[in-house]
Amino acid sequence: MREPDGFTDFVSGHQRRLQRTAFLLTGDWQVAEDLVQTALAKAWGHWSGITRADRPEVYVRRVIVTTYISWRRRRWWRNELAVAEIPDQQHRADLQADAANRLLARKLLAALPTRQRAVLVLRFFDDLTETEVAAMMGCTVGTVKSQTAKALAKLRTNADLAAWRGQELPR
Amino acid sequence: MNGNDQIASRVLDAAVDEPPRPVSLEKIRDQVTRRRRHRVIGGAAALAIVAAAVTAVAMMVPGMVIRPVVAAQPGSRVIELAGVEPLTQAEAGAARTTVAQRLQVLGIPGSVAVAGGHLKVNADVAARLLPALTAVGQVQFRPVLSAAPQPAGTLCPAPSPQAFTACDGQHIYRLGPVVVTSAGLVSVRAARTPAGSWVIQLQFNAAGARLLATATGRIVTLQPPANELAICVDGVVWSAPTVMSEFTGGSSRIAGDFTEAHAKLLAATITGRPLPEPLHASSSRQ
Repeated sequence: MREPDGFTDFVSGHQRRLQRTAFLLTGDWQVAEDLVQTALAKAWGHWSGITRADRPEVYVRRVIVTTYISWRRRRWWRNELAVAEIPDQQHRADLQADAANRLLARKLLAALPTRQRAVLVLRFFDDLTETEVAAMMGCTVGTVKSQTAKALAKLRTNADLAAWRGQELPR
Repeated sequence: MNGNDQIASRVLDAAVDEPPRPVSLEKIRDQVTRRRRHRVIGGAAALAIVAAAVTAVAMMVPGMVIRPVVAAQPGSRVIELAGVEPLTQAEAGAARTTVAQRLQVLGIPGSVAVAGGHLKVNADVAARLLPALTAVGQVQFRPVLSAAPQPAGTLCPAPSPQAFTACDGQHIYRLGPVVVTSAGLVSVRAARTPAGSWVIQLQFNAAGARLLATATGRIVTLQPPANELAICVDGVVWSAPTVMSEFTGGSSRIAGDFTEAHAKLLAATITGRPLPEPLHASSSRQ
């Protein structure tokens, strides 16, 4: 079975971006890989329609987001908990700062509810507009706005953010 | 960009590193060719059935005969729907109601009249939508007992008293007893989601919803493929979604990659009381 025209090029051109988006949603590279693979397999079957009607990355990203939300709803994977502990902060402080920030950032994201996390990733990692996010998630622009505000408020008030190291946080 | 936006971007950028390996085209290929795993979501208020693409319309009604029809042209035309034998008055009356409801689901204005032992449909129905009017349209929800690949070019094994079999063009399913039929459905319609995709919405009556809840509650804990519920239309499996939780709502959604025409066609096919037999259509311009 041959892949449709342009499919391979699309995959090689967009895979890093798509995988990173999927990782930010799921917090697990293995699940992210499954998610991207599932979305691309779906796109494969409808390639000519997609490339006619839409930009393929819009379609694939939409499948990733909706699949992520439905997986979460069904709790297909439950193993994603906040990263257990931030490494000992006394230990080799400078070298560890980046890694600690990474774990902390993941912990902060993991603490967000499914949809808030999705709007955050789409708005601020994929740089989509509120309208684009609304279309992708099948909700209104108002919902995107309110979910974004809640997610940001939650990030801000999370006490763990105070542990962010190395740089001052913007006010 | 204000402070809040910056926090979000910084947290996101900090959280992600590089993918450990590239996407594998081989794995995608496997997934495309492998049996499509359908999934069902049950909910308190509604259940959602997420199905992959539904089999071609021609598959839906084996043995269905469509007489040659003139190509769709603008303006009304008369389509004659007839059985092998003339329909009885009662059959024709019921079929008229069904066909009229299906036209409505298709969104095509027109009228249906009984003329002798057949029906006269006065509407502009494109040839590819005609199967929605001529199919029997009997829906059966049945639990899957087993599923096996169907070798290309082979016919679906006929159901026997020992085993009810049905196929979807790629797989042979052995199916358990009927849970709900068309009689448990109140309405079917094609609807557009806010995201712009097309779904088929099914509304069950109280008895249908109760039967579905009991059956899904039973099979939800079983091992695949016994946790799948097949949706059979006229003996062909449209979709065999996996039951993820007990259905407690009275409505459901079939979501796939439907085009508008496809969703309407499928929705119309299972609308109304099933026809007494597959009808054939012949038409003439009016």
